[in-house]
Amino acid sequence: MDQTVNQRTLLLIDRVSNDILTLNKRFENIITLAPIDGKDKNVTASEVFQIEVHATAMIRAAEDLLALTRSLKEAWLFGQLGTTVNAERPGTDANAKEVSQALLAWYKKSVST
Amino acid sequence: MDQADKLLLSLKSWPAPDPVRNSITALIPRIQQERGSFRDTTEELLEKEIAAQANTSNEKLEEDSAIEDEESTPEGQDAVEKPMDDKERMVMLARGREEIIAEIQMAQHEATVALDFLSLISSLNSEMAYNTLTPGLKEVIPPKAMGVEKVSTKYPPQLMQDDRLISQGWKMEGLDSAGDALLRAASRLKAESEKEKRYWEQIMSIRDEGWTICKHPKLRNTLGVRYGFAETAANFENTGIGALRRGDDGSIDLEDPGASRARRVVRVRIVHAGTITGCARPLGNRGQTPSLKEKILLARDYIYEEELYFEIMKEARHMASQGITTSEDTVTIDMKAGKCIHIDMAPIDEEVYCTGESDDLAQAFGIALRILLSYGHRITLRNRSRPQRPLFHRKGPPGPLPLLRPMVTHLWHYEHSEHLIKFCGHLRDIVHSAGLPTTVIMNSFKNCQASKMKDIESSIAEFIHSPLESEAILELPGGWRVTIVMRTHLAQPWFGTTYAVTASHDGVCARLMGRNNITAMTELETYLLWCLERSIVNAIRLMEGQGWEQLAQGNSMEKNDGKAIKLIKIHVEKGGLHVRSGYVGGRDSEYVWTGSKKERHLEDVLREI
Repeated sequence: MDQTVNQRTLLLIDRVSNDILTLNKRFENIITLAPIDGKDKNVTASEVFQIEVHATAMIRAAEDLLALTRSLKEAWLFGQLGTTVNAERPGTDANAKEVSQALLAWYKKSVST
Repeated sequence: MDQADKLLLSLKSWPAPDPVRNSITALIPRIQQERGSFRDTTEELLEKEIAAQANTSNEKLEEDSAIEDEESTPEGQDAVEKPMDDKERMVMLARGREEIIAEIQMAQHEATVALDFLSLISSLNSEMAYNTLTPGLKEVIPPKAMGVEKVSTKYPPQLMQDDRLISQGWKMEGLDSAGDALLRAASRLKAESEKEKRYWEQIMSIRDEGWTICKHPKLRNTLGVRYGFAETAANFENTGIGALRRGDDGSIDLEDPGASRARRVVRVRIVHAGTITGCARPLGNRGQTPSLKEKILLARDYIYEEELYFEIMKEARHMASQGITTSEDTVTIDMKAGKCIHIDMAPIDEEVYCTGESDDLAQAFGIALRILLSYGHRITLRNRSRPQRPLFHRKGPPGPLPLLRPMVTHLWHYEHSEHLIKFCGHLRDIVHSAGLPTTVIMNSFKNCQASKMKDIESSIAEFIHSPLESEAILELPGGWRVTIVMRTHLAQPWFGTTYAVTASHDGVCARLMGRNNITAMTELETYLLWCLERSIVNAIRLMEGQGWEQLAQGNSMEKNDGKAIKLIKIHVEKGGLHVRSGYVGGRDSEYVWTGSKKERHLEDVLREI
């Protein structure tokens, strides 16, 4: 159990660092491609296309991070942290007992009179 | 160039006339597509158009012929004017085809040469490129045999300037669009995460209420809330999960499987002689726009009602021998004397529920049924969590839950004990009116009056599993004492009410003493009347200064006062106490005590006889 949890944790950490790396790297790439430096129009055209590709990859990484937060929440909710919920309300039985004692008392009183 | 663009060359064979293409079914849609609706097409319009077309084509022909006149020989003019026959056409086509193929071969050749050229240059850097060289060339030319050097061309400054501007503009545009895309994505993700936050806040609030959140078993990537009961019958196991979908604004939308069906609840009605005298009110809130938590509660309530009715039906079918009948949608409990209880499902609507004098009974009946189902769930849980019995392989199908059985037991016991109380009271009134002492002590539902309740479950268990017991003690005149223990149980061994009657006295009577088990009320009544009769006989026998003697242990007595032998006969029936007196040779006279009013003392009456 511990091992699977650890593996899971490692996978998640990997995913986060991958996404962050992608964001940084792709942004860096865009900046590198930004100057013109006397390149002719054909080279520029291909560079513009590359910029678009990098931007899309950044968006994808950000979306992946959002999806990651959701799966983390679900993992937490479904008891990977050992959280269990007891749906039964503890006060119910006590209330029921009170009510039935009162009913019994009322009944005995009505029988005796 | 312009001409070349317009020239459409096809290598396909000449199209054969297609019957489908020129059929009327293909023509009509084509005409409609080209010219629009037929409504706008008139004959004049078409004629005009044809005329215009003919004019233009004539003009064109004239133009063409004029051009050809200039360029071509008279033979060429003949060729245009003279229609070609099929053979010539075929020849022309074949020639054209050959020309095209030659062009293609030329292009192919040029492409190969270009590829060879590039491969040869690239082979300077990589051996791989050499592989793409034409096999024939490979034999002749070794790799890296051709060098290449970049020659800086002198562009005209104007061209350079243009190129720079275009590059600049294009790159600016590219960066702009990338930035825009990122910004759009950022705002979208921001909105998304806000929605997500709202959604999860609500999920947490549901969870804090104590509901179980789970993954929906049928819908992927959707959370569900389990509001069903863990211990329900197999038929309801999968109905208790509602999908928690995220709405457009991030709020939770509960999609519960029962919402599509009409909401109905179990309705209990008391019917007396064909008219409804009582009806249970449905419980629970019925807001027009319930909040999420209320929606979950409602869904749970309805599923509980459905299960309750299902279980009631199941049990009722097992109890047909005990006056419970089922029809397609109603369970009827026959309570005798024209009274019956109807249980069915009805929608929550005001007009369906009427009111009457037995409302409280119906309401109590409904509530008790619901409590019993909840108790049934607990028992199922306990049975499930118990270790299995050894050498026990297969579980049988679960029997019906005790819902109607305890309720009907209770009602019948109540009815019978009321009847007994009434009857004993009547006897007491008769005896009192005759001036004799008697007491009746009634102890109803003796075994349901535990002084201290341990816990809820065990107290309900007593109510369900043990027979209900009431006790009546009658102290009759003449030292008689009759104890009636009345038990009701709708199971083995009685399936109804039984009366254990114990009579004791001073030993004057030898018949039917000790303990008797009686199962019918009429039998009990007759027996009690008999006991009263004999006890009064005994009381008269014991009266001081009267001197009556019992004859043959019967209900006749005689007295010899010296003058005559007087006889009396004591008789007790439902109507009252009858004392018939007489003497040999005289007329009989009768005294009756009905118990309705205070009458003369029995002792005085006897003294006068």
